[in-house]
Amino acid sequence: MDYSELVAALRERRPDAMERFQTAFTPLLRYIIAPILPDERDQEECLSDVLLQAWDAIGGFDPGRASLTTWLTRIARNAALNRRRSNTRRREDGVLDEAAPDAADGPEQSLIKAEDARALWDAVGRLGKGDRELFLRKYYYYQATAQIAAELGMTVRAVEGKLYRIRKRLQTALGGVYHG
Amino acid sequence: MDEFDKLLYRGANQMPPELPGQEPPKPWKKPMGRVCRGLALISITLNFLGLDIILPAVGTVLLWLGLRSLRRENGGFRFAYACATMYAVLRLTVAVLRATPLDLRLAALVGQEWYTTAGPVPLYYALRTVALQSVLTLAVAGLWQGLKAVFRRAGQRPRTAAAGGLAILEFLLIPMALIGLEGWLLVGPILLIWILLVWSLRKLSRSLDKAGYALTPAPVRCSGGLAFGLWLGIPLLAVAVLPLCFARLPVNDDTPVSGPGVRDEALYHELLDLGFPEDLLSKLGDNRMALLQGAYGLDQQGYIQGSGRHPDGMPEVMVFEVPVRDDKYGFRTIYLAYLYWRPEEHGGYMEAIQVTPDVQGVTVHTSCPQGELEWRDDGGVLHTAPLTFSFRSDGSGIISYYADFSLPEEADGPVEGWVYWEAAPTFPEKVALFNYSLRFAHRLTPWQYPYTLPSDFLAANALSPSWRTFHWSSEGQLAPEGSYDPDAY
Repeated sequence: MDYSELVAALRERRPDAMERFQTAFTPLLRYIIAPILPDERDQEECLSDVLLQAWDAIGGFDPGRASLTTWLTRIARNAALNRRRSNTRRREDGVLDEAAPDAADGPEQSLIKAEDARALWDAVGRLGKGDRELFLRKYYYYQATAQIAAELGMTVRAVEGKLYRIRKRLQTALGGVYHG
Repeated sequence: MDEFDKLLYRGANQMPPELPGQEPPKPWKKPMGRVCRGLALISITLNFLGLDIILPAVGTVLLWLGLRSLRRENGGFRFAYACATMYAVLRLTVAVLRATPLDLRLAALVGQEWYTTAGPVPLYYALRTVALQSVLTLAVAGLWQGLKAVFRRAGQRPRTAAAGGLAILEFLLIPMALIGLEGWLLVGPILLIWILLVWSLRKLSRSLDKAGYALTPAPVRCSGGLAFGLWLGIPLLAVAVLPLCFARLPVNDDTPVSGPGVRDEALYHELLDLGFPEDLLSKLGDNRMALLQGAYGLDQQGYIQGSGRHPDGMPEVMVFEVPVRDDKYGFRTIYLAYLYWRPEEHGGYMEAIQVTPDVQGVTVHTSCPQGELEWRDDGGVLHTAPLTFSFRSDGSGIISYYADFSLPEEADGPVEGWVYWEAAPTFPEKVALFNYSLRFAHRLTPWQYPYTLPSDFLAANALSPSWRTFHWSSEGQLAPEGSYDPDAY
């Protein structure tokens, strides 16, 4: 779908642009945020943050690199993860969010992890279309197995089985590269 | 969550933006795609390579799978899913029934005919078409209402004209099928509209992304692949296997015939004098010979070639025309067809004989033919089975009589048959000439779908590589004693 006119309207700060933008993308943003933030109040706050971020950052959006939906999805996902992370840290007995970057990482450690991540995504890129979708739903969009199963018309058991096989393939593909 | 899981989640933070498939999941895309593909395949009719069976079956399953995912969303989708389930069950039932003789029996049970512009069809078939199309129409109507509800819930104007148009078009197909409307001038534009509507419906899933994006997906107990395999596999298995169970017709083997009764010697010699071949006369039997009482002429047509001919499943035929004196009409003619299947012709599965006693249907009164098959088992015991004829008239009112049967598998040697009928004068002409015909059908293969009796095949004047037909016709003569001259025609 071509959103170039909408992007132009947002960049020019036209009066109706934000309303059109919200109408077009709020359902998608809710869909992305909901699996990461189970609490409804968190979801609403996060949604407002994302809309504001998108409004502020639309000037930097490059349609040559990613589609508008992908760009927005990324913003929404990161915003939701940040909120989840801070929620976790606020909890007294909080467990460290595994998705959170390690604040203690030095430059060398960060470089190693970036290389590992590249190797992982190379391996993910080599997966078949269906497997890649399953992987992304699970590890990128944080969707619950039950949601994935229902949306794809599969049983939970079948999704678990497929994810297990995908993980095995990735482990094999990565060999001992991943340092953790 | 194990260590590797944690690593995968962490790695996702640094995902490059250009990774294929990184577009967000579209929950509506798959179910709506299945629904549209299902509707398209249900309506496609390609009569080759079994695609007329496979494509609608695949379409039915896809429609069901698509609606299964949507059924939790709202009442409209739930209704559509229920209708799609009923449609799939109906289609499955029809597919199974069509593989068996039960379908023909049901058609006979309902009995009446429905007249379309293309000709009469059994009422049962018309009712079946109406039932299937009605349920499909209801499913599409449910889909339409379900989609409308999605837009309304999102506070948006429903953009569901395609679904509504499709529901109306599916409904219009019911009277069209009942009337039997054909021809590209009518069907062409409707097909075009239909394709556009399905295409628009397919594009609708993009609009649905703006109307809530997420759907309330229904959990499933059976994965799509397995459900697809089962829904598709059962009818296809039924279509593949069931016809083999009904490849042959039962042989109504009567008790072995006891020895010959008391022969009418006078009649026997009269017929010999008239030129009846002695070898066949001795096989004729007392009952059949009694029909020829009062014979005053004989004409013999056809041939018995015996061995040396390439087997084609067809009997060799010899027809005797025997005019006899009659108290009521003064005279009438007995037709007696002797059929001979050589042992190497037994390999078929179903046979039919069609007797049309008067091809023009204007000259003579005819009786329903009767007949018997006779054969000997490996112990030399003679067996007999009656041939049961039933009649039906063609579009021009000509009556033909049909008998369906299978040749006995236990026959050791040739199978012989006798078919006989009478012709009596309608008008007071001295001599009436008319044409009569015998047609034979022989099914070469054990598998057929849908289940078709050979008589139906003959009546439809159909052609198929699985069948062989043979047509034998001749001119008959009704003439009083003294005027009968078989050489006159």
